[in-house]
Amino acid sequence: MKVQYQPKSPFLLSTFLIIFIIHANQVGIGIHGFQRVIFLEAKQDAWISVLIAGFATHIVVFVMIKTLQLYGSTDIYGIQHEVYGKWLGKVFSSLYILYCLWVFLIILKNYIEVLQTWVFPTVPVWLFSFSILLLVIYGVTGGIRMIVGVGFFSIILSLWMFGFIGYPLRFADYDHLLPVMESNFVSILKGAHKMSLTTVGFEILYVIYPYMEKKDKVQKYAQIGIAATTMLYLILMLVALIYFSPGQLESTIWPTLSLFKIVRLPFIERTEYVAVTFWLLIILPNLMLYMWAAVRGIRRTFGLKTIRVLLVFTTCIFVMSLFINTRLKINRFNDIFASVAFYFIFCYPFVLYAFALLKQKIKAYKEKKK
Amino acid sequence: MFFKKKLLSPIKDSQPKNQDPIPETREKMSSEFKARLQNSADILENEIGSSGITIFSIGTLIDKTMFHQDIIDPIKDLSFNSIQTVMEHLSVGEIEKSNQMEMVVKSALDGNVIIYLEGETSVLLAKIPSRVGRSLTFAENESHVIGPQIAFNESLMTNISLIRNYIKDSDLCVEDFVIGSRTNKSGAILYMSGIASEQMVNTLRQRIDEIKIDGILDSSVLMQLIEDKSLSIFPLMSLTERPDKVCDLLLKGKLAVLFDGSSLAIICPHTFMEFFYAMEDSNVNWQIGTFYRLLRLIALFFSVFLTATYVACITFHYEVIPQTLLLTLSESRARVPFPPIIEALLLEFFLELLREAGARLPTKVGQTMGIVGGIVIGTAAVDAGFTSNILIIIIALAALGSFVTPSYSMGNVIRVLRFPLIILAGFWGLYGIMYGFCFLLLHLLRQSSLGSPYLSPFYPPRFADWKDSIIRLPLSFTYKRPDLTRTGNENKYDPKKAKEKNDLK
Amino acid sequence: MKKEGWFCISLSILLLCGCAEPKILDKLGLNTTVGYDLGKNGYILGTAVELKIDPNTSKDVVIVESQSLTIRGILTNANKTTSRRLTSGQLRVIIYGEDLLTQGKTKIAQTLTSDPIISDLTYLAMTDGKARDLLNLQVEHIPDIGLHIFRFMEQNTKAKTMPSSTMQEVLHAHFTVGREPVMPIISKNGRKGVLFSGVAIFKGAKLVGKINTEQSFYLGLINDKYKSGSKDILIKSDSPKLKEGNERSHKTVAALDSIQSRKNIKLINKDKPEFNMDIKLSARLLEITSPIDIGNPQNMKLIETEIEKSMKKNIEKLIAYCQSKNSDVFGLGETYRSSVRHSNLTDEKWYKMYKNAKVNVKVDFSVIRTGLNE
Repeated sequence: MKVQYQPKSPFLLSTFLIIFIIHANQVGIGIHGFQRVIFLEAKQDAWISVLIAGFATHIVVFVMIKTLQLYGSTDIYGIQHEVYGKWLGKVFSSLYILYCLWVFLIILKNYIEVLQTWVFPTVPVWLFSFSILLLVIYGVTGGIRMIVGVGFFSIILSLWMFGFIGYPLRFADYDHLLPVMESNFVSILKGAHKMSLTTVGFEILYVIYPYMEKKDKVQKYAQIGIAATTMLYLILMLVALIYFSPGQLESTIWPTLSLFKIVRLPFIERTEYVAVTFWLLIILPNLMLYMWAAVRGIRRTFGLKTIRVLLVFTTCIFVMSLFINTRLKINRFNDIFASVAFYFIFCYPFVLYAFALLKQKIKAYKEKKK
Repeated sequence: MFFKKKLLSPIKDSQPKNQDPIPETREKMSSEFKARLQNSADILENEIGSSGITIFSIGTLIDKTMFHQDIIDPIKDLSFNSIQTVMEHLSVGEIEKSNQMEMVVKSALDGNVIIYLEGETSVLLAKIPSRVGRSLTFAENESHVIGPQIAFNESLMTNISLIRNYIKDSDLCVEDFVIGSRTNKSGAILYMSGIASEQMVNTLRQRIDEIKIDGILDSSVLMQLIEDKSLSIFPLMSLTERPDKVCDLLLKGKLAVLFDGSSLAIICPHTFMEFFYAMEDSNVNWQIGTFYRLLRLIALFFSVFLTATYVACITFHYEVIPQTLLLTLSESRARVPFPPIIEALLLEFFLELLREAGARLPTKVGQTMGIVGGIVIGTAAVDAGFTSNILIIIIALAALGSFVTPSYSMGNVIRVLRFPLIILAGFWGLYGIMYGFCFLLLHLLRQSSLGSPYLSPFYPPRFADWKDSIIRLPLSFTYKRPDLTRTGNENKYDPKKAKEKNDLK
Repeated sequence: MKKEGWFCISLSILLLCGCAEPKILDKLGLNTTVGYDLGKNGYILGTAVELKIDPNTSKDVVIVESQSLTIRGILTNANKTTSRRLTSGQLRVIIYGEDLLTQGKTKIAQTLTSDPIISDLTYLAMTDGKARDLLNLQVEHIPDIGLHIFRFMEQNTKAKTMPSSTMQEVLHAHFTVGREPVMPIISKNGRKGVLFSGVAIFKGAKLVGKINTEQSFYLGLINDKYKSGSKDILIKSDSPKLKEGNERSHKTVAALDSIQSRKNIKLINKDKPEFNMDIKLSARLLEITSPIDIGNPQNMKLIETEIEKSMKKNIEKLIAYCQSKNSDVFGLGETYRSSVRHSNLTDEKWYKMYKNAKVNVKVDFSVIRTGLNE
């Protein structure tokens, strides 16, 4: 396996698209209910937790891109191969692929849960997961350019939802935010820690990096993308805090969706029904990017054919999705994932960067000796 | 794929026949010529007096007046001993010399007369084709209020001359090609050299060259053969009958294909959005142009999604119906015996029937169809409790929406798309509509037109081109050619100079 | 190219296999209004106004009754008596009987929010007496009592005559420490229709007091921001200019219109809760029953101060009443919590302080214009 990977020029993407890729991949299913999880820890200072988590993300992304820049044009599979050697590298790459599939399953399951709770209580899971997987297969076979296109459109086409933010603000009670810094710092940090399920998504950088046209500009645009997401989360957090009273927020599973319940338009009485179904377009790029990253990983590390791997993966996901069928199981699944994701996404990049630097130093040292 | 291969495989053995010389005696020549043309009844054989000249031709293909005035008259009283001298006496523009029988027959089919002098090894071919066809008329299928009214007709030469009249530039390239192993029709690729991308011209040329088919009768068929993907429902290239539109797009760096016998020009590459532009948008004020385009886009969404949304809301999501509409909706639904999906499909089907019947019947009868369908059946259906009257309004709105699309082929697509969406909505409600929308988005993202992305300028995002997409900014803003065509010459004009106005003071 | 084919085939198979459970509009009975009363043995008695469009009958509305121990059970039981499946997706108003609320301890509204089918914008109201009687009201000019109550509440809420009591607002107050919900009281207006007769004051989910519509205006002044609204203010003044009234009545009343108000509540003493409540309002004076020359600036000043006085008195009365009922409908506790650091305020803690909390009311009123005449 080659460490370097340089796609042909028609497959390259304009660098600024990384803003959309990161934003689209971060915003997905976590956004539905993160306010409550964080509020339980940090109370009315939850918005500080969001800021801290956002700040941490900026740093992690910075390190990620630094790591990637050490090698010119490569992805995480190449780096791990180079850093850990042939066998250990394969093990780590497989772990990363498993991680991608896990996120995929989490997103799919949570979205189906939302659909079933809000709109179609009687429709079986298999119908939803089968139909969505069908779309994913169709999308992933279209290649990375097309997947990024879906991400781009999903952001542009969901901008209208922002217009509704004024509705909950009519019922706002700004006193809920006061006094600031009431919670102690530890619980705010704990809240920030709980953000990990919501902020994941930027790690797609590790895989998509070689496809960027101008590698030196990736850092800038990636940071803009992260900042956009943090802003969005911050706004939603603040709106939820002032709209819901503390008791309500503690018992509302999906505050973001519940915010839509207050929107009444002259031609649509209940916007949340539209929002919940529209969310399909928002999670679609997430699903496709993760599936693509996993399939790409198999192709890079083991050199297997894309289509077959894709079909095997989707079948596995389909079967798995049938087994996690109650709210409790989903919650457990989410919790385990959140803790794993924290180490995998927020801590591992530092380790990888350290190893990569070390490896390069050793290499340089050896060459000098020669 | 197997379908296309089979279709394109050579049917007629195209190996050149043995290089027959011209027979030496008149009888031999006559029988040979007739034999090769299957003894057709319209073969003419004129012996010209004592000059020893015989003229062979296919009578239905030549211009009789020219034949008498320019060929027979000058030579009938003379006698010749060499074919070269005959040539000097003829006043026809296109004269060729040939010594092969194969070529002789071919040119006879092209409207040539064959001037044969006994004893000579070569013959003269004089081109005097008859002009069968209609004169230029109004652009009726893509009519505009402001702008030129002329449309292409079926003659390739006329069409090219129309374009040449618009663009008087030496850079306008006309490349000809012949297609169809039996029909042998000619066509032309037009582009502005230096503006159009070389690579695209090559791709197009290659695609046309690779077609192996016995006959193509219209450019719409040709378009289906050179499109990027033939299974998509969306037209990936555009057809137009307006020479001004062709010229406008040529100047933007696109390529056009004209085909003899067809009054429609193919334009490529073409994006999805461009199907919703009309030439009129640029002929009116930019504000009005923008309004038209927004109107068409909204109409597109209405047309595709409105009926489906109705079905979804009535079938699954009665919660989203506003209180003010609730009573009217349930009152109109109360007498309908079918579930909403059947009701909608029935009415849509009925509307399509009306449209198709109107299109197939002569114009005068067609109008009656509209009245019968729209008023009589529509009202009766509601009165009988067959459909709800709100659905009739919705479907009429959706139908109107599909008719405002300037491109006829895109309008057809929009009408057909409604049906799967209604079915999806009837099974899965709003989720089904969203599912259909996502699939359409994925599908559109996958398409390309002559290798360039179909959803340009939205994706890949080319923000500079957005100035002339959903909105149309004034001409001083849109001085650049679209990125889509990968043009070699970016600016249409110098923006600074164009803004200057040296009025007399 | 093949992919589209596969996609379409799989999708059609999928469509053939699975279809969501349809809820076709005309096959459903839509509950637009429900009323809950206390039944016997702890049962809850539910009365629902069912919208049932049937071309064969002239009446669109049917009243359905049933009882059960749970709120959801009421609907299930009611289904046994109807030809169409009852659903609550178009529920607009929920009316509680007084006896159910006096008992307290009901979690009716919370149960309803966990059902996504019910809108957060559903109005909640109380009726003195039985909700069942209110909904069974038969008046000729009201063909659909459910719709009538909804329109009636919507109109009055928009005009700010009635405190807004959508489910979101009631629950919001209910779940805030140091704030209690209110609901309008809707009662039968004899045989003529319905009437807004007062505001119910709660502590937790328990009804503890009622105020009349007059005081409801002042409650609105404290809790809400007026952007428009109108009100007659009774002026009891010692000034000779305003004392008279007119021949008809000997009371001086000023009619205000286009009222705009702002309030500001501030905690000034932490240990013994003391609040400053500044209320600023401006309005158009359209009518005054005394023969006073309102073109005179001095007279205007007089009217303004008198109105201020009258308002202040009313507000103080209202606060005292709520304090006596131990219900903090103004959210003073919330103000306390948000201005005192680490107070860890709970309802229990707050209500120990609330009774003795002091509120200094200051009203600042100004007439912005007087219509077309001066």
